[in-house]
Amino acid sequence: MDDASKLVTLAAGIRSGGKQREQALSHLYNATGLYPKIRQMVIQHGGNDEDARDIYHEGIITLDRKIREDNYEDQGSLEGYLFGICRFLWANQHRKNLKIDLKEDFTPYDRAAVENPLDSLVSAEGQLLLDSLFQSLGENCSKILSMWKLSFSMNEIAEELGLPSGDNARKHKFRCYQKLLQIVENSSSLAENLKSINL
Amino acid sequence: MKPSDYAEKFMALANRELSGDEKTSFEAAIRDSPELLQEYRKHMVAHALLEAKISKDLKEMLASFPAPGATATVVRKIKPLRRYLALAASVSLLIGFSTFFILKQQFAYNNLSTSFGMSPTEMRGNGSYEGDLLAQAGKFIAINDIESAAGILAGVTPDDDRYAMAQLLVGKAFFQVGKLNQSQKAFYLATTTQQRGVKEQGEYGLLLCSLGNNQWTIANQKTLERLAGDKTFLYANEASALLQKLRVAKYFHR
Repeated sequence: MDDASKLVTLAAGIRSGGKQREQALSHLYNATGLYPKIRQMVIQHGGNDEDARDIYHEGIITLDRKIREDNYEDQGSLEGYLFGICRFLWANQHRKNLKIDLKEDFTPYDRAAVENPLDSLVSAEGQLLLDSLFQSLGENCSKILSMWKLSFSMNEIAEELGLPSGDNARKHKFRCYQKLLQIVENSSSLAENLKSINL
Repeated sequence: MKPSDYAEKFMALANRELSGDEKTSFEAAIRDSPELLQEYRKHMVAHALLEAKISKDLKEMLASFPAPGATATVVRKIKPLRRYLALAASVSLLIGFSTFFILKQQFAYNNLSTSFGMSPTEMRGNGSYEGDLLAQAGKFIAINDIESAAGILAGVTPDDDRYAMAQLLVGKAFFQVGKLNQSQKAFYLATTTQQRGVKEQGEYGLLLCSLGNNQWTIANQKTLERLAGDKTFLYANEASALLQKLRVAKYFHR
């Protein structure tokens, strides 16, 4: 299998979720030649090794989400897509560091791959708020809902959490999800943001 | 139409599990009902929170991986014979480099200048100064009290026939403590005399100062050759040995 086919397979693995996603992300992370290119790009534009690694991680996280949200079409290489994301992320980060305007000519494709109004909603609330919300949701509920969102089957969720069956896991998922909605409704800062979401 | 009637459907839509006509018609219903729209916004925020949690978990997972560059390195197994040859080559290279640096250090001009210097307390051929200022200065020099020695020797003025010898002694004393500029000046004054022995020692002292400053010229080389060839020169043996060393040293100072 050539490198391009491997990367398409990795995208399919991420899209199908569950354990295949974890394996695909692990393979993608270690794909030969990807990181050196991104590192070179970051260092050539004023960054260091630590910045390069952070941007690589952020790029993979964004890529993972975009593939799962079906915003990646298997046109062009996954490698090029990830590089574009990292390039945009670094330019954005660098611009913030230097407090200058973004001068580089990024395509709408690059921007669309990264920008997400719901991300800014969550990041604006901060990491501490996120932690406290999921703490009040409980460890098991957080795990069930995360696995559900990552397309794990109900049987896999049941096995992971030691529940008797897939049906039982489905009931747990429903209750946990209602609990999460209740938390959203009761959080004043999140409720404020509800008004700004356009569908 | 109450939002609670559609709980499962909201969940499925927010998690992209609906498709086709079912998805289209439910989206249309949401758009037409402010109540359903408000409910769906809650689901969107709930999913954004789940997405943030997933990103956070993935970030932690990636951080636990080794650095991406490190895993890309492929180590090829070397055959035993090649390994020994490689080891031998490495050892030879190490010995070669070490030898080079040791020799380079040994043949450094400033090291040679101290190895072939003139003893400041040794008054070769000048025993007649016993008991006078020069002898007193020599005692201070012996205990490294250069300032006191210089103070005494300053009393020997240019009109004194001991002046050149005093300057020679001053030059040797300052050379001993590494004050090359003062040493050079004193040795130069020693060379202005007509007394051949003292003049030659002054010249030799100037050569040593040049070496101490890591400087060596063709003129210096010719002076040293002349002094080494002069059997009457008090430090002829040292000059000859220094000449030999400099033949090797020149390879380290190109």
